[in-house]
Amino acid sequence: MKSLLWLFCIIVLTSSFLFSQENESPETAYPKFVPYVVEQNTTKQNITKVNIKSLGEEQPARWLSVDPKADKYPGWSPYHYSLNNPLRYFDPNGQWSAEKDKNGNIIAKY
Amino acid sequence: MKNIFIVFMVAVSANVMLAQYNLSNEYHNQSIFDIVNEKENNIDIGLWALIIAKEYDNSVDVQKYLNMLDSLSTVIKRMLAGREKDMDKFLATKMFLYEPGKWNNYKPFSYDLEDPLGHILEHQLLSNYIDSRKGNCVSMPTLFLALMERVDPAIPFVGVKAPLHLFCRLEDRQTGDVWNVETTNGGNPARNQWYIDEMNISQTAIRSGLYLKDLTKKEYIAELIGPLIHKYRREGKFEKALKYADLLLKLSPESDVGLVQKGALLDEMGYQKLKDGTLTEKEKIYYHDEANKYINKAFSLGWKPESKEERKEYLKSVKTELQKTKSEAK
Repeated sequence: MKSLLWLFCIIVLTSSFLFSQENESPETAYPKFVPYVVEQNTTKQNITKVNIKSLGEEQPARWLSVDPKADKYPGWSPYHYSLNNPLRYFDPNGQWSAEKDKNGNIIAKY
Repeated sequence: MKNIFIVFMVAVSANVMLAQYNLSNEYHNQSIFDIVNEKENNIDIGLWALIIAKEYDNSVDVQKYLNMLDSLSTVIKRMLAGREKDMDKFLATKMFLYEPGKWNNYKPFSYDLEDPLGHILEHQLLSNYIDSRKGNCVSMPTLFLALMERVDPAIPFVGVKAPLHLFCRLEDRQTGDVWNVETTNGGNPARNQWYIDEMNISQTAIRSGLYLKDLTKKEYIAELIGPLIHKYRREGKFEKALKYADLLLKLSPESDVGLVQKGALLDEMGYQKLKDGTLTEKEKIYYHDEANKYINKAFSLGWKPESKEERKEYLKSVKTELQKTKSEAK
């Protein structure tokens, strides 16, 4: 009787295992795409995981608003650094050029 | 005798200079795959953009649109009235496209704010933009480039790439100034820093040359192949889409669009085979590893998928602009 009970348990467990294998969806059977990137600029390494299905669906179609400072330096190349006069001016953040006194205080913004 | 020799030498050098910028803009049923054999300086962006449009929609009459491009550039040349400076050529083209006047029948070209995410692939086609005068950041710089190269084939006016965006850049030969030209917004200038701030471009992407560098003509045309890949990907014709992705990468080996699309296509192909029950163990590893290889290369160059927050912010700015445009029209 005891051995029959054991046999019954084994049959139930085996069939449930086989059943779960048959019903496994293709999504779980296919190796999931997990590319990763390590952002080197941060002190702590961030690993970004990406789902393949979401990739490449975006279209290049972006609109860009008017650069409010585009006319701030008319005639200056977008590549200029501190009005091409780094001895006199400095450019703290790429937004504007400025002049400072001997103590390092900003005395004029351009 | 000496004079004849000088005249001969001048004639030869003039011919050499002209041949250098001899745009081959004749259409003889080329396929987009023929661009590989074309010389860089001979590439006519207008012609190849129209060939892509025909490849996308077989009903596009390439010769008809080429004639239209010639007519439009003739109007710009007339507006120039003999002025030769690069800035004059640029401003005349800008005015022709974006300011309403008799030169464009009071119908200026503008960005289609109703489709800010580019869901309608046809909006990326040059032929569609010429007809509707509503375009996006793919068709708009393409027309600007096509017209400028007809006005002056030698002018240093090139395409530039930012994340999900294309624009133009002019190097003024008379002053040495370099201007970014934002074609989705009236051809107005924009600083590099503006693109970096607005589009969250990483230093890695700038250093690798993924974004903000001058594109060669072949690299620019490569970016226009995107709609063909998307079209066939959406239709589930992955093999065909992959051929276009391969061409894109042949023209521009480090294009984020090409790398991401190829990676995504390989993954989709593997998944398709799995669903069909034909995926072998060997193929399973192949598709997975290859897809990873291409996507990770894009990441290493500084590409990253657009985040939900970035998209939300972008759509918010478009909505504000749309409301502004509508209130101005009333």
